[in-house]
Amino acid sequence: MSISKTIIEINGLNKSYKKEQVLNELSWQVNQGDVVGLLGKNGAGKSTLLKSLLNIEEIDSGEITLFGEQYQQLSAQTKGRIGYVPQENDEISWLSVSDLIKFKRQFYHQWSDEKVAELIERWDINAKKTIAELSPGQVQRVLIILALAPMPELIVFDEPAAALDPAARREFLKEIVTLASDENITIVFSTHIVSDLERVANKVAILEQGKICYFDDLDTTKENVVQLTIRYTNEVEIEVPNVLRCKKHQQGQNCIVSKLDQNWLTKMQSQGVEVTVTPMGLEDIFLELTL
Amino acid sequence: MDQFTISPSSGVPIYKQLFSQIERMVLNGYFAAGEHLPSVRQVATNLEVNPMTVSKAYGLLEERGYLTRLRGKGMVVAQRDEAVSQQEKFKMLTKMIEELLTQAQQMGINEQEIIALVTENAQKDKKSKE
Amino acid sequence: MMISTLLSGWIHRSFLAIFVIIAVGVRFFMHEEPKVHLLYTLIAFISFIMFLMVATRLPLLTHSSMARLLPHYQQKLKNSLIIIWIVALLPSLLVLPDIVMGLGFVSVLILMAIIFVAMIYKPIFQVFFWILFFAPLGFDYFAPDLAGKSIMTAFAWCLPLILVFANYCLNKLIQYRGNTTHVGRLIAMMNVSMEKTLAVQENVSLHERTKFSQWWSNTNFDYYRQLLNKNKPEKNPNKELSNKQLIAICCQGVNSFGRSAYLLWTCAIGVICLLGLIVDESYHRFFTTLVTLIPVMIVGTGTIAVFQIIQNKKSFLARIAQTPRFATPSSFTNSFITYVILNQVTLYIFISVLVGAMALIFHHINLNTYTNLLLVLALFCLVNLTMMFFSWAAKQDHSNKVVWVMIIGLISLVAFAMLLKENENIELMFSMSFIFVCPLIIALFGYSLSRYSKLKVS
Repeated sequence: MSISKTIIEINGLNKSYKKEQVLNELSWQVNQGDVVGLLGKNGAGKSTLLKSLLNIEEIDSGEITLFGEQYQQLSAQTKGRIGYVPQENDEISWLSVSDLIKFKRQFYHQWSDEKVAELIERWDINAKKTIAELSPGQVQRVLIILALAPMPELIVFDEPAAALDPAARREFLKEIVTLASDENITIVFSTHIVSDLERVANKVAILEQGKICYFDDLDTTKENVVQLTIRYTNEVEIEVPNVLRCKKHQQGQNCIVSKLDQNWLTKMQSQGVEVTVTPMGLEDIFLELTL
Repeated sequence: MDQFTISPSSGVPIYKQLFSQIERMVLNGYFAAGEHLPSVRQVATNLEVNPMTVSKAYGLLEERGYLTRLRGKGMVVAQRDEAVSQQEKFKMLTKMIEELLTQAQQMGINEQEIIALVTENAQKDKKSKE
Repeated sequence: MMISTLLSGWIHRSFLAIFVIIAVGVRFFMHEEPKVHLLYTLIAFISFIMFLMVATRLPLLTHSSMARLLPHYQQKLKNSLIIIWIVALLPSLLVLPDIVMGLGFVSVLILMAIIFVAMIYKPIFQVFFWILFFAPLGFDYFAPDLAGKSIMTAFAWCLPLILVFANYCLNKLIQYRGNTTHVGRLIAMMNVSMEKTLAVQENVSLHERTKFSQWWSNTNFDYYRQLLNKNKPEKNPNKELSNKQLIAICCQGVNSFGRSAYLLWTCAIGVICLLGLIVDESYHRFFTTLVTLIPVMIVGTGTIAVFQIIQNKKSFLARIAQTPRFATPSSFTNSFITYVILNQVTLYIFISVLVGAMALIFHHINLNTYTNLLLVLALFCLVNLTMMFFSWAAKQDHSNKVVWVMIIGLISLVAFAMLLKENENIELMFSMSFIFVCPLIIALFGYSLSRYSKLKVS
């Protein structure tokens, strides 16, 4: 595998609202071709992080580089390589969809009319209606179309699926999968719907207490974070490495580990201790890691 | 195209689910030697999963000798030595039997009882086929 | 609880308090005859604000789901309304030495309140509002012999009748359930503005508004829609619109002071000026209130609305600034600053011309006062711009404070203008304090600009 380029690099990012520190010395790195799901509880600062790194919100301190350029002084070319879908619709509500597209395309050097036409057709949007007349789900789809039209290489979605019904969400995920098959395209999306992430993301990041407290491969995460059911032969409690949480009961222990130690496992089995490894769904993993 | 099914919310990584599914399909002859597998992109859009997950599963299958990559033509099922293939089949069954035995042990059922159960079921199966 | 809902909004309350204080001041410290007119105008104005405020909030109570569920709700509502009514009539006590006048005033105010409430629930009653508004003029024109005093005496005698009528209306009001769609719209608008203490109704989407406000906003938006559609993208795919035009499109809101607003005000002033030309000069004093009120209203809507719309669109504008179009350093800030300054300067020039035109017809101010006014307006414009840029450059949201300061500023502007009118001989341009303040404000304005453009480098 070739070493992929770093698309987003954040070092020591601080951001506070009034007295509350939302992001605290946050550092993070996203590589080209990754599809990153950003998880975090409500109010953990997911939106703030995404807005800060795109220079939509001002930060207190820290360094951010996008495509190797300082984030406040991006070249026109780099600016055109970034697409963003905001969580809350703030587009001009009195313009019709087709007028809004005409308006938006003036800000970009590159714009795919075919892509726009195709998605409008496929997602069943009445382009004559104004944004104010559309339902929240339809508005969300329009926002996604507007973000994809300039053919960006880094796409940032802030809670993209929140307003979509299940069918529309599927359509949207399909679009992400199609995009992700292009190895140049990097996608970052924040969500609290874990099942969306399980299908399309290959990396998972967890934002907690102002920091990226966890960032790893989705598959590795599922292999590492597991539930162990230990059965006692004698009633001596067993020390489990990398343990997140452990509950002791009469016949044994139920533990959750952040990284399964294979050496330890073979050692235990050779000692005759019965250890069953049960994989966990991402939703449970998320809850365990943010506990 | 709908040969594969996955359950994304399970704790088993999707690439592993795909891997064991295709492994089984190759071993039980669903895919004959030399047959083309659907492309990574096709599988990915069909299952709505990240293409990298699919190529990871394919890569692993290639590594284990189930598939071979043909330049520009995608993945085909590898020609395999009969003996090796047999070995793989036994290995897979052994794994399943191991699991069965652990379960049985936990339920307090002994070896003889299991063997009896297996023979009984095999005969029932034979009868229903006739 | 009901009273606080009806009177919520501390800006409204302080606004009222200031006017009451001014009215009391006028009553006790100025004894000349012309001041009586000022006093009446002030009292009418106070009641106007109070009634409008209460009337617009009434639907929240009469059409709330509580109205059907809570016991004795109607009785409580009626009591609260009577209390507010009595309080609202208190300022008219200031006229008291003249009992007939006072009673007549009370009758007129009660009628006004009834019309206001009716107007809110059924827009058709606006007709009565305009009749009441132009009634004094009509009386003077058609029945010049009838003195204001005798009309007031008539009203004073009518008071018992009006009170009975008011009681009837109140009973009807607290049971009123009709016209749900219209009232629903009103409630939607009120809920939004209650949160923000000041009526910024940008958040209510267009199709939830009243038909009139939809039409009104669309007349402004249509211009920009045409602008977008005028240039065929096939001919010239990129950069058909200038940066400034694009930013102008971003900054349009439902409350924007757009082209149609300019047109409407020009027409309205034209009509008033025409009236002024037709009617005899002795009636011009009836126009004075109107003529002073109009520029104030224009400044209020044209300045505060722009500030709030842009404040609401801050993150959208930040997003726009991150597009390839604005990749050259400070191209966005420059276009944005130019847009805002031009927008405000146009507005103030428009007001100056209006005031000038009206001064020519009604002679309510002389040339010297007019030049003084122009100077004050120019400074006021600069002060407002300075506050806007400071507020947009700040990391935290100070918009509510800024709006409050702007309103206070507007009131002081009116007070100062009146003062200038009273002292016609002051030459502001040569007064020491003006010469001192002027460079200070200009310097502050320059600083706010540099601060804004420095903070928003990209």
